[in-house]
Amino acid sequence: MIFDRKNHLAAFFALVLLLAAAVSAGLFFGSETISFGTLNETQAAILYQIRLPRVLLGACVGACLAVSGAALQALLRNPLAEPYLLGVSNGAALGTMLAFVFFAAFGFSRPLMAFAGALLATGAVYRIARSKAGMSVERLVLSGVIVTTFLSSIIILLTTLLDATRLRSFTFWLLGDLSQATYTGFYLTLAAAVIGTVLLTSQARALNLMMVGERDALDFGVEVGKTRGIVFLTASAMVGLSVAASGSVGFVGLIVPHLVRLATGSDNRTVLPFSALFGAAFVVVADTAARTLISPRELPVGAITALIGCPLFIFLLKRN
Amino acid sequence: MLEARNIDIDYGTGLILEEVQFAVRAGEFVAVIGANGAGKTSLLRALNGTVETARGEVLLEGKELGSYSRAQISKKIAVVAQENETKFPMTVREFVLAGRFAHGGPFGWETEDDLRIADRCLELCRLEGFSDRIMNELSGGERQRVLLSRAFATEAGILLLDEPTNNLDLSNQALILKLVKKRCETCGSSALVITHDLNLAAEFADRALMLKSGRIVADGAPEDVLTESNISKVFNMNVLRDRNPRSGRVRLTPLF
Repeated sequence: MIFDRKNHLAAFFALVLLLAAAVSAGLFFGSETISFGTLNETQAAILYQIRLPRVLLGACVGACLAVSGAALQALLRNPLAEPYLLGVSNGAALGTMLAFVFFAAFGFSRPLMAFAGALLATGAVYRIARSKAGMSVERLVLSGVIVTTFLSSIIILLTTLLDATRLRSFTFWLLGDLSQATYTGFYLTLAAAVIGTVLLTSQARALNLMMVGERDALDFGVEVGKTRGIVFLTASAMVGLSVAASGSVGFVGLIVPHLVRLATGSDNRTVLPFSALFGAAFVVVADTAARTLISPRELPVGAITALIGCPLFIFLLKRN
Repeated sequence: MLEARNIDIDYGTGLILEEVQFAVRAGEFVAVIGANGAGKTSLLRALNGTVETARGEVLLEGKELGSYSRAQISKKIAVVAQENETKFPMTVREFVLAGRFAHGGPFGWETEDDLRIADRCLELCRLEGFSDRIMNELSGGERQRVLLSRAFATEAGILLLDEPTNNLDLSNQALILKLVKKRCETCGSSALVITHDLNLAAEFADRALMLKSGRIVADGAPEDVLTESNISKVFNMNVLRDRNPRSGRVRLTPLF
C-alpha cells in the first residue's frame, strides 16, 4: 500500500490535480491544437461547442463506469466483474437502441431505456451465475459472456433496420464513442456520477464486509438485500446513462479500480471515490489519445480502453 | 438470554431441524455434537437469524429475533463461521474491524475506540504485530484466531462458533477453545461451539447438546451426554470411556 489512512487527503488532492491536468490536456490537444492566448472564432467554436462538452462527458462517463465496476466487484466478490464484461453495458446499449428505433421522438427515452436494459442485464447475470453452491469467479464471467452474446445478437438484428450512414455512426457508438457529446448528455451523466458515487460510497462499509462473503456480512450486521439492491440499481443507472451518452466504453471498470486498489488497498471507502476521480481522468486521457493518434481521423475511445484492459484481464485471471 | 422454542428448519427437501428447544444461559460454554448433516450448522444459523425457521421462534433477551435489525443482532451475537476465502487483499486490521461494523454509521471511519478494541482483541488472541499482515498470507491457525478476534471485537455477549478447531494443529485447537472459555468466564459471555472432537467438548464444555437427524437427543453435562450408548446411537461407533487422569474429565477412545 502506498497510502495509509493519514495520506488519503493527499491522495485525494493528487487525483483532483490529475483530473484537472487530464481535462486541460483534453481541451488543448486534438486535430486542431488550441494554444493559450486569444482564440479566433473557429477555435472558440471548437473549444466550447465540441471539445468542452466532449471532455466533460468523458470525465463523467469514466467516473460512472469506474465506480460501478468497483462496487460490483466488491458486491460479487469478484475482481473481474466489470459492467462491459457482465453484459450490463450491452443491456444498456440494447435499451438505447430500442429507444432510438421505436421512441425516437421522446427525449428522455434513451437514458430511461438504457437504465432499464442495464438493470435487466445485471439481474439476469446475477440469477444465472448464482447457484446453490454460491457464485464462483468463473461462473460469473461465463454468465456475463452468455448474456453479452445474447444481447449482442439482438443488437445486430436491430441494426438491419438502420440505413448505411446511421449504421456507421451506430457501430462507432457501440464501441464507445464520445464524439456525439452534448451538454444535455453531460448534465445527465454528471448527475449520475455525483449522486451515484455518493450512494455507492454510502454502502462502502457494508461492501467491505460483503467482499468477504454474504453470510459473513449478514452475521456482522449488514442488511445484505438492501445493499445489493442499492448497488444494482445505482450501478445500472450509472452505466445506463453513460452508455446512452457514449456507447459501451469497455474495461474502465476493470482497469481503474484495480489500479486504485494497488495504490490504496481494498477499503471501499477510498476505492469508490478514488475510482470516480481516477476513472474520469482515465477516460479523458484515453479519448484524447483516440482523437489524436491517427488525426484527423478518430478511433472509438472503447478501442483504446479495450487495448489496455484485455491484457490486464488476462493477468488478473492468471493470478486468480 | 438466547432461546430456541420448538424450531423447525425446512430447506424444501424435508425437515433439517425438528422441534429443537433449548436455552443458553449467560457464561455457559455449550458444545454442539452430532454427525455430519445432523443440522448443527443450520441450528447455529437459525440462532442468529441468517436461516429462516419454518416453525417456532428464537428469542434473544426475551424478544423475538425478527424484531431486531441485522445490526442490532450482530451487536449481541457474534459468529465464527466455517472458512471463507478472501478474494481481495485485505489486512488483518481491516478484517477485524468488520466486527465494529454495527457500531458505526454508513459514512466515516472507525473511531479511536474501534481501533483500540480491534487491537486489544488481536492481542487477546496472541496476534500482536499482525495488524498490517495480509489475510491470505496467514497460516490456518493464525487465520482462525483472526476470525475469533473479529467475533470478540463485536463485544457481543453470545458467541456462535462453527467447528472453530477444524484443520488446526493441537496447540491452536487448545488455544482457540481456551480463549473462548476465558471469554465466558471473564465477560459472562455464552458460547455455542460445534465440534467433532468429543474430547475437546468433554474438556471445555459446561454443557453438551447432541443432535441426531435434526433432533436433540441429549442435553446436559458433558459426562451425562457423552455416554457409550449415546455415542453409538449417534455415530454408530463404539468407544472406550474413561477419565483423563489429570483433569478428571470424561475421555473417549474410539474402538475400530
